Order: sequence, then C-alpha cells, then structure tokens
Amino acid sequence: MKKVLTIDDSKVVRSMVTRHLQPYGCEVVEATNGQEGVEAAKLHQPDLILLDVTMPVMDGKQALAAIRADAATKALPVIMLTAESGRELVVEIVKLGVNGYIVKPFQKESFEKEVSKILGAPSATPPAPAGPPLDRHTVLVVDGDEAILASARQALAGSMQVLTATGAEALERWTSARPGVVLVNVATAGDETIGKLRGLGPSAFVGMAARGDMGAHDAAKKAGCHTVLDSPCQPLEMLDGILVATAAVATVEDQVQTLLGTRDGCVVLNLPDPRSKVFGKVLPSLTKRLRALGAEGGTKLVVDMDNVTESNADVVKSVVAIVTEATTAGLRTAIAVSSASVVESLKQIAETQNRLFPSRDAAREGLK
Amino acid sequence: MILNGNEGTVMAEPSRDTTLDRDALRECVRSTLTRLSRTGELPTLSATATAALGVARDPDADIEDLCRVIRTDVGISARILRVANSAAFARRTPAKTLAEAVLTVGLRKTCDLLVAASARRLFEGTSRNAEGLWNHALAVAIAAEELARLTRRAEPAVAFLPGLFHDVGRIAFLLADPISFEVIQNLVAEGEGQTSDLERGWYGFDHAEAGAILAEDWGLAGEQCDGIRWHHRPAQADAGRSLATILNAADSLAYTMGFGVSPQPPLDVSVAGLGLAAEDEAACMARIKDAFLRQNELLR
Repeated sequence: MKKVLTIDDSKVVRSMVTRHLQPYGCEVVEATNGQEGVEAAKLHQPDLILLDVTMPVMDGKQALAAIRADAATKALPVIMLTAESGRELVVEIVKLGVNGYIVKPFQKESFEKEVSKILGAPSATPPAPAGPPLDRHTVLVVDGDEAILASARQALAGSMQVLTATGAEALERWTSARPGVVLVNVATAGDETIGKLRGLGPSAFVGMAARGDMGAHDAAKKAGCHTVLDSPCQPLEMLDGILVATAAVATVEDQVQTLLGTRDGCVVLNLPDPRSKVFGKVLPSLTKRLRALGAEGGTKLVVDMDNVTESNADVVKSVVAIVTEATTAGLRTAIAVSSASVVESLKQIAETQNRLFPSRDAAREGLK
Repeated sequence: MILNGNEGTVMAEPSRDTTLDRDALRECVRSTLTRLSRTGELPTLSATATAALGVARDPDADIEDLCRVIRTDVGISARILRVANSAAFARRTPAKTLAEAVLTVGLRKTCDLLVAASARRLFEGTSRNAEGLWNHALAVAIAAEELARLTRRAEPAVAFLPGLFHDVGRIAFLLADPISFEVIQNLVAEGEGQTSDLERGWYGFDHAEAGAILAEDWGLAGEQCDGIRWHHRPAQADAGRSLATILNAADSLAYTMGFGVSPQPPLDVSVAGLGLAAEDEAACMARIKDAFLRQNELLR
C-alpha cells in the first residue's frame, strides 16, 4: 500500500487531502507543521509528500529545504499546496525542488491531475476488501481490559455481539468473524497490530487511550484509528465513538445496522445519545429502516435507552420521532429506560408515557 | 488582506473596512467558485425569475409589467393561477386571467413566488439532501417574513427572498465541490468546528459571503444582500442589520421546528436577539408551519 504524508496545520485541509486520496487506496500520515513533517518523512518514507507553505513552528519552505538536505528524504516527491495568492511564492519554492503544486481550495480533478503524476491513476473504485461483507453486528475488542470490556458490553447489549482477542490472535479472530467494528486498546495492541488489522478490511476502528495521554491519542490516530476515546469511558460515549468511526468507512445505512439487533423476536434499537451530533445524521435513515421493518413483517420494537442517563428536549424529540415512526409502521414499541430523569421527562409525553419499562428484559416481556 | 488559503495574511473574517476589500473579496469568491465549478459558471436563476426581480425593484412597475414576464413561461403562468385559486386566498370565484391572479396574490408576493419556484430548481440540482436544504430555505424565508411582521424591525415584503437565499452560498459550494461539502459536514458532525469557520479555513470565505455575492448578481437590493452576508453575525451588518437579525432568528426557529440542515443548529443563531415573548414565539411558529405547508405544496 502506498503511503502519503500530508503536512498542513489546518485540520480541514488535511481532511480534504485524506478524502481526495481515498480513490488511490493509500495510507495517509498526517503532520501539523514543518518540523513534525520532516520527522514523519524520515520515519515513514512516504511515496508522496503534500506540503503546505505557511505553517507555525517550521514553514513549508524551511521544511522542503530540510527534506532536500537529508540523504534519507531528499529523493521523496513533494507537491506544494498553495493559496491562489501564493502562486508567486511557489515559483520561488520550485527552485528548491518540488514535483508540482496544487492551488487551494482544490477539487477532485485538479488534485488528481497532480497527484496521479506521482502515484499513478486512481483505481476506478477504492480497493474492495476480499471476502464476504463485514458483519455490522459484531465488534472485536482487541487487548481490552476489564473496564473497556464492561463498557462495550453495556453499550452494545442487544444490538451487537462482543468478541475479544489479544495480540496476534486478533488477526485470526478478525478473519473468522469479519467484525464491522474493532475496538482496540492502543497502549497494549501497538501500531503494528493495528496496521495489520486495518489492512484486512474496512472495519471501523475505535482506539482506546488513557484519559489525558495525548501521545497515545496521537499515536492511535496515526496508526489509523478513525476515532480515539478516553479509557475508561461511559457506555454512551463508546456507542457514539462507534458511530463516528463507522461513518468514516461505511454508509449511514450500515451505521443504522450497528444500532439494530434482534432478541427474543423483538427488534432492539440500541439508542445512542440523541444529543450527539452523529446521531442526528443517522436518525432519518433509522426512521426509514423502521418503516421498512414494519413492511417486512416486524411486529415488536424495544427502544433500549439504558445508556441514556440525561434528558433534554432533543432526547424527547428523537424518542417521540422514533416511537411515532415505529407505530405508523405497525411495530408495537416499548422503551427500556432506567434513568429517573429520563423516565420523568418521557412520562410527560403522550406518545411515550405508556411504553416505559425499567429494563431491557421488562420491555421485551411487556411486548409479549 | 489575503483572500483564501493560509499563505500570507489570512482573512479569518470577511472585512467591512473598505470598498477595496469588498471588491477584492467579491472577485475572490467569484473566481474561486468559477474555478471549482465543473461548468465554469456560477449558479443562476431562470430568466423569468431574474425579470420578476427586476419588476420587484422597479417602483413604477404595475401588474401588467409582471404579467408580461409571467406569460413567457407557461408553467409559471399555470402555477400563479393555481396559487391565486388556492384556499389560502379564499376567492369566491376562481381567477381566470393572469391579471386577476396577480391582483389576488399581490405584485410583490407573486414576484417572491416566481423567484422561489426558480430557486427550487436550483436546489434540485444538488445531488444530495436537496429536499432538506430546500425545506430549510423555505422555512427560513417564511419565518423571516413572519418575524419582520411581528417585530416591525423590517419590511415583511423584503424579508422573504433574503430568507430563501440566506444559505444559497452552501448550495453554490455543494454544486461546485460536493466532496469538500461532505468533508466539512463530517467535520462538523465530529465536533471539529462550526460550518462557517471550516468554510473560511478551506475557501477563505464562508457561505454567507458567497450567498450575498450571488444575491447581488441576481439583483437583490443592497439591504437584502447585507442581511444575507451577516446572518450569522448580525452585529457586523451595515444597512441590513435589522434583516440580518431577523434572518439569524429565523434560521434558529427553522431548526427548532425541525427544518434544520444539520443535526445541531449553528451556535451563532438565536431567536433571543428579538426579545419575543414565549407565547408570541409559539404563535409565530404555528403560523410559519401553516404557511410552510401551504407554500411548499404550491411550489411543487
């Protein structure tokens, strides 16, 4: 797999570069200033460096000079990214030896025109993983400690199966289970295992790193985790993290699949935090899926809100929308909720007040 | 001042200092959007809508002037008749001629509807989420008109179109560069920043600035364009400060009513600036909802 290093202090630019590199199926390494970039170039020996001009700590011009001055990096291809008004500066930089430049903001065609000169043409479609589709109802926890496992089981009860593995065993476990989500303890699994797992297929990768350990958080991102959570974390935070990571590799419909499971003849909706930004994106597809479930002959729905511990207008609004949609679709609906404040707020609402049960089991019983 | 990217002096916030700055920014927005666009052109309204805007601007224009514009488009003629004969206008006998229809609906409102019908086609050109973006635009247009009437801070007749076009810059971004639009949406969802800030980090200007410049090109009045430009930061507006405040509140109300375009409303929109009483706000939302359902159906 080819490797590209993007050096830019702007998160939005690095994200644009990463997104536009997707068709090339390459690994993207990020650096946020020239100095970090020079070090990353030595370490990763990328097939291409995309280098911004104006950055803190060390600017693009200085970084380019350092890259060209070092025998280990001097032959690496470099494309500069410049603003419209920085074109004149590029003429100056070209003399230092760059392989091309791209004007920001760029779109697909202008980006690919320059990048393809170095990486070759992009694949018509991103490289598809070999083998059957991933199982969106399975999460593989790699090197998870007790706190991670407890959060995962609590967060995913009802909608996903939780598998565990340690070290090298994880690769074998992934191949047999093809999990949609991999939760990995960054401190013990290590970059190499994460890299190998990532090469197996497009699972959503959620890194777990000690709270406040920014080094571990950065390492997890560099190793390719789509999102990194503090460990230990609340089940609801984990569910949100899984949704964020899934969004990076899968469609919204796939995300919906991770929230829905089946138990004792009931469809179980494992509700993430309705206040979270990711959930708002998923809600329309979720309600659409509930309609389809009704049309497919589903009859019972448990909305599992056990992870939701606080309520506000957004929570109530989302739950009412889900219950209304499910009822219209012909699904009898029960809500499992144990938080007193959430119960109190849902008791005030006609659509939800008669559907509340204190646990998942009681909710399923209530629908019998 | 630099206009985009992060070389030299980045203009984090559009300046209102000098005409020179404004002209340079306008040129930057146009050239960037044109460069990114596959067609090499900026989004446009239909000829009928542009002509209707001309009539709306002309203080001497009369119904016959507008009828001449409408007659050039059979589909639009039929639509205006349908609007005039809808329950909303409660005519005893159906309007049979275009002039009767325009008289019923009102000259200014007919112009608004003509432009909205054209704008709807523009929104439909976006491959993703066209319906959601359109619903938001129409809800904000109606809310702006309603809030202008309620607060008397602006002429209701001039509030509808800026409401409709307040986010048209986002449509321009989406049409020109869908991948960047998606990346910015994802970053917002991941909590990496607010849409306007991320847009400025990428394009060098935000959708409000781009929308104001498109609105200028389409012939909206200076006050209306200023309102669009500063709808996220009304305090920085000039001639359109009242309209900007109303658009900001209308944007917020649209989110409250379920017509948002992202999971959470932007942090910088709020209805609080208008100082409405809770019961007025609730009654206002009921009227907006009613008008939205009616007008959306008529504009289909």
